[in-house]
Amino acid sequence: MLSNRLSILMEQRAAWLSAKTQITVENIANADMKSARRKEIAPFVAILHRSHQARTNTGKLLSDVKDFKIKGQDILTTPDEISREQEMMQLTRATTDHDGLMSIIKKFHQMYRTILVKN
Amino acid sequence: MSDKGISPLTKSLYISTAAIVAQNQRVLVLSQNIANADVKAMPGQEVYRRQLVSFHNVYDNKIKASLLQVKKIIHVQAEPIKSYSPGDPMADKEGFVRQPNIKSIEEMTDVREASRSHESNLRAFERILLMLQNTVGLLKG
Repeated sequence: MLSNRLSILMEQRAAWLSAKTQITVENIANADMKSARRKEIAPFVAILHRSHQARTNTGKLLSDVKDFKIKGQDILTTPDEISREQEMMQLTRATTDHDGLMSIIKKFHQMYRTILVKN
Repeated sequence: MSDKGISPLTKSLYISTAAIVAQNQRVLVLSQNIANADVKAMPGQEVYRRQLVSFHNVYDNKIKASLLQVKKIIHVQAEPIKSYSPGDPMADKEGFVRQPNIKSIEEMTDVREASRSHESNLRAFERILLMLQNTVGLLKG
Protein backbone atom coordinates (compact mmCIF):
# COMPACT_ATOMS: atom_id res chain seq x y z
CA MET A 1 0.00 0.00 0.00
CA LEU A 2 2.79 2.40 0.95
CA SER A 3 4.77 1.65 -2.21
CA ASN A 4 1.63 2.21 -4.29
CA ARG A 5 1.11 5.62 -2.70
CA LEU A 6 4.75 6.49 -3.20
CA SER A 7 4.54 5.52 -6.87
CA ILE A 8 1.52 7.79 -7.31
CA LEU A 9 3.29 10.61 -5.52
CA MET A 10 6.33 10.21 -7.76
CA GLU A 11 4.13 10.28 -10.84
CA GLN A 12 2.50 13.48 -9.60
CA ARG A 13 5.88 15.01 -8.92
CA ALA A 14 7.02 14.10 -12.45
CA ALA A 15 3.89 15.76 -13.89
CA TRP A 16 4.58 18.91 -11.87
CA LEU A 17 8.23 18.98 -12.95
CA SER A 18 7.22 18.65 -16.61
CA ALA A 19 4.79 21.55 -16.25
CA LYS A 20 7.44 23.61 -14.47
CA THR A 21 9.88 22.88 -17.30
CA GLN A 22 7.32 24.07 -19.85
CA ILE A 23 6.78 27.35 -17.98
CA THR A 24 10.55 27.91 -17.65
CA VAL A 25 11.12 27.18 -21.35
CA GLU A 26 8.34 29.67 -22.23
CA ASN A 27 10.11 32.27 -20.08
CA ILE A 28 13.43 31.59 -21.82
CA ALA A 29 11.78 31.87 -25.25
CA ASN A 30 10.15 35.19 -24.31
CA ALA A 31 13.18 36.68 -22.56
CA ASP A 32 13.83 39.13 -25.43
CA MET A 33 10.30 40.51 -25.46
CA LYS A 34 10.17 43.61 -23.32
CA SER A 35 6.43 43.28 -22.74
CA ALA A 36 6.73 39.68 -21.53
CA ARG A 37 6.45 39.04 -17.82
CA ARG A 38 7.84 36.13 -15.87
CA LYS A 39 5.48 33.21 -15.30
CA GLU A 40 5.79 30.74 -12.49
CA ILE A 41 4.01 27.66 -11.32
CA ALA A 42 2.51 27.19 -7.86
CA PRO A 43 4.63 24.99 -5.55
CA PHE A 44 4.12 21.25 -5.81
CA VAL A 45 3.01 21.01 -2.18
CA ALA A 46 0.28 23.63 -2.70
CA ILE A 47 -1.21 21.78 -5.68
CA LEU A 48 -0.89 18.46 -3.87
CA HIS A 49 -2.60 19.89 -0.81
CA ARG A 50 -5.48 21.25 -2.92
CA SER A 51 -6.01 17.95 -4.72
CA HIS A 52 -5.76 16.07 -1.43
CA GLN A 53 -8.45 18.31 0.07
CA ALA A 54 -10.66 17.72 -2.96
CA ARG A 55 -10.15 13.99 -2.52
CA THR A 56 -11.04 13.91 1.15
CA ASN A 57 -14.11 16.06 0.43
CA THR A 58 -15.35 13.44 -1.99
CA GLY A 59 -14.64 10.70 0.53
CA LYS A 60 -11.82 9.06 -1.46
CA LEU A 61 -8.84 8.12 0.60
CA LEU A 62 -6.50 6.75 -2.01
CA SER A 63 -4.81 9.29 -4.19
CA ASP A 64 -5.25 9.00 -7.90
CA VAL A 65 -3.03 10.51 -10.58
CA LYS A 66 -6.13 11.92 -12.30
CA ASP A 67 -6.90 13.96 -9.17
CA PHE A 68 -3.64 15.82 -9.48
CA LYS A 69 -4.36 18.52 -12.03
CA ILE A 70 -2.37 21.62 -12.74
CA LYS A 71 -5.01 24.23 -13.49
CA GLY A 72 -4.75 27.64 -15.09
CA GLN A 73 -4.85 29.31 -11.67
CA ASP A 74 -1.61 27.51 -10.74
CA ILE A 75 0.30 29.43 -13.40
CA LEU A 76 0.99 32.91 -12.08
CA THR A 77 2.17 35.87 -14.12
CA THR A 78 4.46 37.99 -11.98
CA PRO A 79 5.15 41.69 -12.61
CA ASP A 80 8.89 40.91 -12.94
CA GLU A 81 10.86 41.07 -16.15
CA ILE A 82 12.39 37.82 -17.36
CA SER A 83 16.02 37.18 -16.54
CA ARG A 84 17.41 34.56 -18.92
CA GLU A 85 20.15 33.49 -16.48
CA GLN A 86 17.67 32.98 -13.68
CA GLU A 87 15.44 30.89 -15.92
CA MET A 88 18.39 28.78 -17.04
CA MET A 89 19.14 28.11 -13.38
CA GLN A 90 15.51 27.16 -12.79
CA LEU A 91 15.68 24.80 -15.76
CA THR A 92 18.87 23.18 -14.44
CA ARG A 93 17.17 22.67 -11.09
CA ALA A 94 14.08 21.14 -12.68
CA THR A 95 16.27 18.86 -14.83
CA THR A 96 18.29 17.72 -11.81
CA ASP A 97 15.11 17.07 -9.81
CA HIS A 98 13.68 15.13 -12.74
CA ASP A 99 16.87 13.05 -13.05
CA GLY A 100 16.77 12.27 -9.33
CA LEU A 101 13.11 11.30 -9.52
CA MET A 102 13.73 9.01 -12.48
CA SER A 103 16.56 7.33 -10.56
CA ILE A 104 14.25 6.72 -7.59
CA ILE A 105 11.54 5.27 -9.86
CA LYS A 106 14.16 3.04 -11.50
CA LYS A 107 15.30 1.78 -8.08
CA PHE A 108 11.69 1.07 -7.17
CA HIS A 109 11.25 -1.04 -10.27
CA GLN A 110 14.46 -2.90 -9.46
CA MET A 111 13.19 -3.59 -5.93
CA TYR A 112 9.92 -4.94 -7.28
CA ARG A 113 11.79 -7.16 -9.71
CA THR A 114 14.05 -8.49 -6.96
CA ILE A 115 11.00 -9.37 -4.84
CA LEU A 116 9.30 -11.08 -7.78
CA VAL A 117 12.42 -13.11 -8.64
CA LYS A 118 12.88 -14.23 -4.99
CA ASN A 119 9.27 -15.34 -4.73
CA MET B 1 -1.49 22.33 -18.72
CA SER B 2 -2.39 18.74 -18.17
CA ASP B 3 -4.60 18.34 -21.27
CA LYS B 4 -4.29 15.00 -22.94
CA GLY B 5 -2.36 14.62 -26.15
CA ILE B 6 0.98 16.34 -26.19
CA SER B 7 2.96 16.11 -22.97
CA PRO B 8 4.40 19.29 -21.39
CA LEU B 9 7.92 18.12 -22.21
CA THR B 10 7.09 17.69 -25.89
CA LYS B 11 5.39 21.09 -25.86
CA SER B 12 8.59 22.52 -24.38
CA LEU B 13 10.52 21.11 -27.35
CA TYR B 14 8.16 22.92 -29.74
CA ILE B 15 8.46 26.17 -27.75
CA SER B 16 12.28 26.02 -27.82
CA THR B 17 12.35 25.18 -31.52
CA ALA B 18 10.06 28.09 -32.38
CA ALA B 19 12.26 30.45 -30.35
CA ILE B 20 15.41 29.16 -32.10
CA VAL B 21 13.81 29.74 -35.53
CA ALA B 22 12.71 33.26 -34.50
CA GLN B 23 16.22 34.12 -33.29
CA ASN B 24 17.67 32.78 -36.55
CA GLN B 25 15.46 35.20 -38.48
CA ARG B 26 16.61 38.00 -36.20
CA VAL B 27 20.27 37.19 -36.90
CA LEU B 28 19.52 37.09 -40.64
CA VAL B 29 18.03 40.60 -40.56
CA LEU B 30 20.89 41.92 -38.43
CA SER B 31 23.43 40.41 -40.83
CA GLN B 32 21.73 42.25 -43.69
CA ASN B 33 22.04 45.49 -41.72
CA ILE B 34 25.76 44.93 -41.10
CA ALA B 35 26.40 43.92 -44.71
CA ASN B 36 24.66 47.05 -46.04
CA ALA B 37 26.00 49.50 -43.44
CA ASP B 38 28.63 50.93 -45.80
CA VAL B 39 26.72 50.67 -49.06
CA LYS B 40 26.41 54.09 -50.67
CA ALA B 41 23.30 54.86 -52.67
CA MET B 42 23.43 55.90 -56.33
CA PRO B 43 21.99 59.37 -57.00
CA GLY B 44 18.20 59.05 -57.19
CA GLN B 45 18.28 55.57 -55.67
CA GLU B 46 16.83 54.81 -52.26
CA VAL B 47 19.22 54.26 -49.36
CA TYR B 48 19.09 50.92 -47.52
CA ARG B 49 16.97 51.25 -44.36
CA ARG B 50 17.91 49.58 -41.11
CA GLN B 51 15.61 46.67 -40.31
CA LEU B 52 14.45 45.48 -36.92
CA VAL B 53 12.58 42.35 -35.95
CA SER B 54 9.64 42.36 -33.55
CA PHE B 55 8.38 39.22 -31.88
CA HIS B 56 5.01 38.04 -30.66
CA ASN B 57 3.48 34.88 -29.25
CA VAL B 58 1.09 32.86 -31.37
CA TYR B 59 -1.10 30.26 -29.74
CA ASP B 60 -0.88 26.98 -31.63
CA ASN B 61 -4.13 25.03 -31.36
CA LYS B 62 -2.53 21.73 -32.32
CA ILE B 63 0.21 21.90 -29.72
CA LYS B 64 -1.87 23.95 -27.25
CA ALA B 65 1.00 26.24 -26.41
CA SER B 66 2.17 29.74 -27.29
CA LEU B 67 5.06 29.82 -29.73
CA LEU B 68 7.40 32.74 -30.38
CA GLN B 69 7.25 34.07 -33.92
CA VAL B 70 8.48 37.06 -35.87
CA LYS B 71 5.60 39.55 -35.92
CA LYS B 72 7.02 41.90 -38.53
CA ILE B 73 10.22 43.34 -39.85
CA ILE B 74 10.28 47.07 -39.22
CA HIS B 75 12.10 49.39 -41.62
CA VAL B 76 13.53 52.16 -39.44
CA GLN B 77 12.78 55.57 -40.95
CA ALA B 78 16.01 57.27 -39.99
CA GLU B 79 17.55 60.01 -42.14
CA PRO B 80 20.48 58.67 -44.20
CA ILE B 81 23.96 59.98 -43.42
CA LYS B 82 25.01 62.63 -45.95
CA SER B 83 28.68 63.33 -46.41
CA TYR B 84 30.33 65.80 -48.80
CA SER B 85 32.60 63.92 -51.18
CA PRO B 86 32.51 65.44 -54.69
CA GLY B 87 35.10 63.04 -56.08
CA ASP B 88 33.09 59.95 -55.20
CA PRO B 89 31.43 58.24 -58.20
CA MET B 90 28.28 57.84 -56.06
CA ALA B 91 28.05 61.56 -55.30
CA ASP B 92 25.03 63.53 -56.51
CA LYS B 93 25.15 66.82 -58.45
CA GLU B 94 25.88 68.77 -55.25
CA GLY B 95 28.71 66.41 -54.31
CA PHE B 96 26.94 64.62 -51.45
CA VAL B 97 27.08 60.89 -50.85
CA ARG B 98 24.22 59.16 -48.98
CA GLN B 99 24.80 56.17 -46.72
CA PRO B 100 22.46 54.10 -44.47
CA ASN B 101 22.12 55.32 -40.89
CA ILE B 102 23.46 52.10 -39.40
CA LYS B 103 25.95 51.79 -36.56
CA SER B 104 27.80 48.50 -36.92
CA ILE B 105 28.58 48.34 -33.19
CA GLU B 106 24.88 48.53 -32.33
CA GLU B 107 24.14 45.78 -34.81
CA MET B 108 26.95 43.62 -33.43
CA THR B 109 25.55 44.06 -29.91
CA ASP B 110 22.16 42.93 -31.16
CA VAL B 111 23.75 39.93 -32.90
CA ARG B 112 25.44 39.00 -29.64
CA GLU B 113 22.15 39.27 -27.79
CA ALA B 114 20.39 37.13 -30.41
CA SER B 115 23.16 34.56 -30.29
CA ARG B 116 22.92 34.34 -26.49
CA SER B 117 19.19 33.87 -26.75
CA HIS B 118 19.65 31.23 -29.44
CA GLU B 119 22.17 29.41 -27.24
CA SER B 120 19.85 29.48 -24.21
CA ASN B 121 17.00 28.02 -26.21
CA LEU B 122 19.26 25.38 -27.69
CA ARG B 123 20.50 24.38 -24.24
CA ALA B 124 16.91 24.22 -23.01
CA PHE B 125 16.09 21.96 -25.97
CA GLU B 126 19.02 19.66 -25.15
CA ARG B 127 18.02 19.42 -21.50
CA ILE B 128 14.41 18.60 -22.31
CA LEU B 129 15.62 15.90 -24.70
CA LEU B 130 17.70 14.44 -21.86
CA MET B 131 14.66 14.50 -19.57
CA LEU B 132 12.65 12.66 -22.21
CA GLN B 133 15.47 10.15 -22.71
CA ASN B 134 15.58 9.52 -18.97
CA THR B 135 11.84 8.97 -18.87
CA VAL B 136 11.92 6.56 -21.80
CA GLY B 137 14.99 4.94 -20.21
CA LEU B 138 12.73 3.69 -17.39
CA LEU B 139 11.30 1.15 -19.82
CA LYS B 140 14.76 -0.33 -20.35
CA GLY B 141 14.92 -1.29 -16.71
